[in-house]
Amino acid sequence: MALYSYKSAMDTLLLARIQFAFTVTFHYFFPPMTIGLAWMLIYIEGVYVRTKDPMYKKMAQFWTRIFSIFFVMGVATGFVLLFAFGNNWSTFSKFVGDVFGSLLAAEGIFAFFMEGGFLGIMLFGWDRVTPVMHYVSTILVSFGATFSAIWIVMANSWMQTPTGYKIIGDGPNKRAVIANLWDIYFNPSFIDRLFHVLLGCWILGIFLMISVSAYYLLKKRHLAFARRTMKIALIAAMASLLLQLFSGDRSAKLTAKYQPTKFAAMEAIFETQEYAPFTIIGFVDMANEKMRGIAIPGLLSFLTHGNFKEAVQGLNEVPKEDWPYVPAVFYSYHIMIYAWGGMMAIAMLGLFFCWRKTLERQRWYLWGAVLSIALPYIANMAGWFTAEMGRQPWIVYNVMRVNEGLSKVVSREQVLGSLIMFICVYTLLGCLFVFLLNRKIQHGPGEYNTALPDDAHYRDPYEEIPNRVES
Amino acid sequence: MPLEILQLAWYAVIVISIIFYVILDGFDLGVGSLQLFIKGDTERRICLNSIGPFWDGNEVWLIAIGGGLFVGFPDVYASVFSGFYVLLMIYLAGIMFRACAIEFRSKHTSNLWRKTWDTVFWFSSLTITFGSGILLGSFVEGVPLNASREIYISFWSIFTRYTIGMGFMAVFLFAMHGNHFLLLKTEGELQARIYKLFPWTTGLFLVTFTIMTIWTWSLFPYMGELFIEMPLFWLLPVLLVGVFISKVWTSIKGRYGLSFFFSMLTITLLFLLFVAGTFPNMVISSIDRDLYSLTLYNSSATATTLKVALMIAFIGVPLVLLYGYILYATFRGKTRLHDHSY
Repeated sequence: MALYSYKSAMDTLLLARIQFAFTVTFHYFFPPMTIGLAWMLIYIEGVYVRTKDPMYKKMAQFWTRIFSIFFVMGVATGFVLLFAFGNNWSTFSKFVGDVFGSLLAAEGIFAFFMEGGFLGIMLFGWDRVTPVMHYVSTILVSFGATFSAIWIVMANSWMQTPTGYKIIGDGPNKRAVIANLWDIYFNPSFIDRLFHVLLGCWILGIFLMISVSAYYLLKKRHLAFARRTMKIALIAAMASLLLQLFSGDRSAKLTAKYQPTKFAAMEAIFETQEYAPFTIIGFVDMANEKMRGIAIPGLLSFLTHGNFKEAVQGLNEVPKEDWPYVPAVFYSYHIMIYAWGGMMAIAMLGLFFCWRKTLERQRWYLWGAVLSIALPYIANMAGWFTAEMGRQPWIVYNVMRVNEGLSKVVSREQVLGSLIMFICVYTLLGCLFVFLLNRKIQHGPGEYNTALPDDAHYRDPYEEIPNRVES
Repeated sequence: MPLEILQLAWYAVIVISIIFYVILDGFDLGVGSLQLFIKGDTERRICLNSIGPFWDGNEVWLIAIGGGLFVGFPDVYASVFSGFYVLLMIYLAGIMFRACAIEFRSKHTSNLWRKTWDTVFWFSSLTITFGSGILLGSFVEGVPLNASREIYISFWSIFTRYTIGMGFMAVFLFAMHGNHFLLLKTEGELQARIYKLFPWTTGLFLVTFTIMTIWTWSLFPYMGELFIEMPLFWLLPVLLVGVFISKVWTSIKGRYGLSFFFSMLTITLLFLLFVAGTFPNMVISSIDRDLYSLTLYNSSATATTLKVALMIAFIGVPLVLLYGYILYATFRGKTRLHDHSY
């Protein structure tokens, strides 16, 4: 009996973890794109407001429609996560409610209301408000989207590098409470991780532009739009990828300082060593606790400490029960780096072809650019996998273990049942999403030389509007 | 500031958030529950677009309630969300399908596509509303909350005759509220057709409300305790009757803006009746009401956290109200279809 309950508790834990991983991964397909697209819209609509060029209006409207599909999916799947803290992880919620709850509440108040309110104007207000007011709404929506990233990354960073709290009570009543609010908000990893995440979102938005414009160039459709967008996007991609390199470097240094176990797992450093190597390509041999592959000796020490000699702490410094699962962390981390390399190649080649004015003839390159939208997704996902799996076995780093955070009243069947429900619902939603996004992109921004009649919104609602754009 | 004041203040914030949620998301859920009773594709599009710019912002109040409980009353958040597991999963599925139905319905011209999404929109709106009613009913009735503040309840035992009654009341209440909103937002022949639904939604709500009120006060005498202790609270039901009559009267007179306002007041007063009955309990324990119930005094976060949360609300809520005002002012008047409509 005792054995059975232990086993079922393990199962519940594993299922709850799978459920969270699954729902949060699915969710993360959408918000980064809304953040990236929102910033892009500030640029596009800004040009329209300044120049009154109808082409830019069409572009802004086109990207707004794409934005709305991503946004609604992000909201729908985001509710699941707010509920999940209480559903599956209620012991964790009780423990961190004091600290963590205020961050989520602030996210709701400062970010979602702004986003949700002005989105209405952004989507439906084209004929209702002045172009400047519409532009202000667009700016506020992108601020809202960005603010939500700020609060949620803040909350997550506190789970990675908790500071500013104290623990009161013991046993089941144990909880973390605020000791110093600003130390909680500006915990050591917050600022650097925030920039890393936001740059990731920004790059994703840029690569969507690259991908879609390359597709139009290949199909010889909406050429004026595609040419302009492509050039702007390639330059933006180059700049932000370089920035991301610096941001990644800073994040890694912070990880080495505050989460040495995670850092060791990222590079599969089992023994503390001087002249620590940086792996170019390799695999983790868990049986012999070794990394096998091609590595540059000393580079990791240099990247971490600024000199080739200084030792990098290995996994052997902590007991094995405090290790994350090393291969998962190692591979996701390296996949993220490879994805960065791939994006860099696309951006550099594209700029080279633009310079040589041969871009539209490079069909193989354009096809590559169409498919390159996968790369920033891979990088974003792999980066979060590294961060979250590297934190294991802790739910709050060095404070609370994942298995301590699970709900007590929730049974294995309930978690399994809801997991199956999420898989079914998300499969359906995913298919619908791809179907609609594809339709929208195929349809394109429309003919930009036929401006809308000024009286568009005084029409009789029952009259069929001629040449209506299906939206 | 003493802890009790902070706790009361945060409790008030939660109550106000819930009121905003029910009066705002209430009308768009209500419009959803009427969707299948409106015939014709253009007509349905107009109804859907009447809530188009608003529904998403309205749902944010649900996030505010969740976040507010998480920060201010973590024990309530944790025990309710894990205790009502399956119900909340169904609720979530409802939210997801509803969002997709609204967003996707008009993106394809096929008849089958639109009819399917209309049905999904209708059914998910009903599910969410009915689920909210069940949840509210359970909080009146009490739930098996034990000494370690966990709710052990099986999914089917949530559905008692009383909670099902509350579920139906919630459905008719929101349908009526949505009906008022549609009267305000439509014109011409469509408005006349929607007006024909009005006696039905009002009548059905009135019947269920009367039954549920008598049922509540006879079965759960503690819901009436405050009215005996402080007779001043009898103002609430008296006001409710007055507001309800004004609402019906203004609708008949065709003053739909005013009647929608009275409809919002009706819902507010209804919820305040619930608050007056359960205060200061947040989750009533059916095992031992006096010993195990979660009250706003015994389940809150620390004073520091409440202060932080109140500061956030103090800065944030005026902004939220401003955004809401701008949004509703921008889209005032009748709903008309144009190029950007759903």
